[in-house]
Amino acid sequence: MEQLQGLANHDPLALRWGQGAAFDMIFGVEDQRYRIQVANGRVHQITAVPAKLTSWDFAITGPRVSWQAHWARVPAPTFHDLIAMRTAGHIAIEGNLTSFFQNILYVKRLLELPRAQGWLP
Amino acid sequence: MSTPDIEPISGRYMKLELWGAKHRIYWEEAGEGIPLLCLHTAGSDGRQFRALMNDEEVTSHFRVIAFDMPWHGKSSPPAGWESQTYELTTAKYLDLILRFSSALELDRPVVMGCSIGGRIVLHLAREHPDAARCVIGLQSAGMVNPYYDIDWLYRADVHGAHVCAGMVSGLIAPGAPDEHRWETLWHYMQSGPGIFKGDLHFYTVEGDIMDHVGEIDTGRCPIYMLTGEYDFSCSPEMSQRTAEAINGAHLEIMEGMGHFPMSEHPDAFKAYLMPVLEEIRQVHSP
Repeated sequence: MEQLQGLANHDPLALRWGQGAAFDMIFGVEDQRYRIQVANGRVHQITAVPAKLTSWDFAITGPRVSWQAHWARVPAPTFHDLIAMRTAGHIAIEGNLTSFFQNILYVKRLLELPRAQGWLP
Repeated sequence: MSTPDIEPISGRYMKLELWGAKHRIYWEEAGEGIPLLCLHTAGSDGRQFRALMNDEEVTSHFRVIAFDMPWHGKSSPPAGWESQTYELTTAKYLDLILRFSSALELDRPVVMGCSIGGRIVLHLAREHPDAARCVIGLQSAGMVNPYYDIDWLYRADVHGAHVCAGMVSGLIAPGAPDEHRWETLWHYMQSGPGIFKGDLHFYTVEGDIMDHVGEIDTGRCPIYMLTGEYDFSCSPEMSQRTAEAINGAHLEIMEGMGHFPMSEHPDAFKAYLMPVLEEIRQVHSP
């Protein structure tokens, strides 16, 4: 996950659609939680084990199989997009949804970056 | 200096009395032959059909026509729009299609619509079966399951261009070429404030025709349906359910395709559309 910071901060699409983005999100795989802090359109910090009582704006969480399917080279229908996955019940999107929708293009890009790297959680 | 590649598409405006007000409507067209009236998706405009209008195999037999709906693309909203809220209804949409078709003196055009356009062609076939020689519903279903609160599309604290494009970007299939994916999203980013949401009033709230699709007489107005497998808004299952309720409807599921076939992946779409157009030429020619 630490590599995601470098990927995002050098990705042309993330830089294009994240201009001015500022939020704290939780990304979850199974019970593992990562806190991704974004400031001024850049990933500022990714913390693997957030401290208790950490605040965040929104959380995107799901089982390992959902993220594996999302990051497949050619993801199958309903696994190919965050909203598609949420609609099909593969993941959950919770919290301050205003912040999520304000940053939707950037967040989608951020969480699809591992696909191009061939990562599997 | 390179020679400009000027496309065979022409665009014009007409002034049309519509919905109780004067409207200035923009449309584009190319080709000659059977009129093929194309209806764009919610919150977009007629540019979605740019590839069809540039395809000689289509335009040598069909006069391809696409208007920008009022408040969309280069069609202006009516005077006084600044204090009005745009909201599409079945009656307004049908009125638009019939008045536009009449204004251009189209002889029973083939009417092909996508998404909201795929919905309205079902209404058209049911209520005005003699107004079209047949209809083609792309991403067509009698009803869809709303999967988000459409209020997100028009708020002071959320950028409209970002959220409209962000909500439809996943409706495009993973295999769509980047060039066409981002062109499709650009159209959404150019949509006027609240317009996508206003269209979805028809799509998700008002325009449910599921209980009445069985009344469509495909003997008078044949129905062809093409639905992309990656579409989770109008899913293949929803189109399937609709087609099963209409006696004589033809449905094909398009592999590797999403919600915007003519715009997101024109080449792949052509493989599915041409057999339909060929059949129309043979069966439904004047």
